[in-house]
Amino acid sequence: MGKQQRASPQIKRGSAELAVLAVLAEAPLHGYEIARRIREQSEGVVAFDVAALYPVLYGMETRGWVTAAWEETPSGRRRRCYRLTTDGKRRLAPLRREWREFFRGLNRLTRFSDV
Amino acid sequence: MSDWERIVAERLAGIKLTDEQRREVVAEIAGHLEEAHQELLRTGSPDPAGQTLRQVSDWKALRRNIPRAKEDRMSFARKVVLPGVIAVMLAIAALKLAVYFLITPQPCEAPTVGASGLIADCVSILVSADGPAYLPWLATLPLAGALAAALARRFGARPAQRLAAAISPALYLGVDTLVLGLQSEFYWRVPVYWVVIPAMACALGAWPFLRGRSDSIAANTVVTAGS
Repeated sequence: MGKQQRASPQIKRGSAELAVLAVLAEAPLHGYEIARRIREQSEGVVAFDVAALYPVLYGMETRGWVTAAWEETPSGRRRRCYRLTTDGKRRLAPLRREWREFFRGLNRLTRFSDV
Repeated sequence: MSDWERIVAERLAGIKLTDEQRREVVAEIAGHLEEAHQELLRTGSPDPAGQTLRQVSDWKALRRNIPRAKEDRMSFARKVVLPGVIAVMLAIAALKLAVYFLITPQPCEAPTVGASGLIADCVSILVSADGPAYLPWLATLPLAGALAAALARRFGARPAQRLAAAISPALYLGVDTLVLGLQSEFYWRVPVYWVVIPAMACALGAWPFLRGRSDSIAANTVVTAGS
């Protein structure tokens, strides 16, 4: 039980990083659009609260996985746009592999795929 | 400042960031909420403002987690260790110069051999708080403390971190004193003259740099093209 409680924040953080890196691999995006795409592409299963999204983005920026720059839209609104760096791309591949293995293991364990 | 910026600024008041970082975070999150609000208005939500605000479930967590996320792993080394090492090197160099110019080496006493009591090719340099080098050296320590605190502030250190960097020479001497005290006899005067008073001298120099927020280049990991 204790182990499960300790693992939870790690799983959450890891899944958040994977989700953000995956959508940024498609195109440079600003925070709101990142949250929207994650929600839409996961069909509402994964939804980011602002309190969760920005610490993840800033953490990834600090580690050099993404860079951010202010951009102005034609309507004059300023947005901070995030782009995946080479380090971020390098990080995404093993993350995908780890999560694929994780879900494969869960499937074997729980036989979800047989249901 | 838009309404959303005002709301976000109020709720993130006291967040531990530099002024520039705080302005950027407030602008970015306010922009996010504004877009969410616009979309809710477009889709005919009955309570767009309330629903928008509910997108931030925990402001306290946001206030706590953003500074953590922005603090890079090397920050302690950059904010405290680097200015501290520079201060230690300055203090040691100043002590060596003071000793070199102000203390005359004395011939060693031969404790066990020889009836004359003197060995011609052996000299000793006695560095004590009563000696001529102590006060001039002490006078240089506020400079070392000031430099360390100023550097630490420039790298975005908090006041306590700036003070720690500034008094590093005294901490270094404290370890030295402790080692010497363990090896030989302990005299209470030694830590007072070589740790406490130097720490106060360093802190005195650091004092003007302990107040105020970190300088804006602190932990500058944020790319701000166009800002």
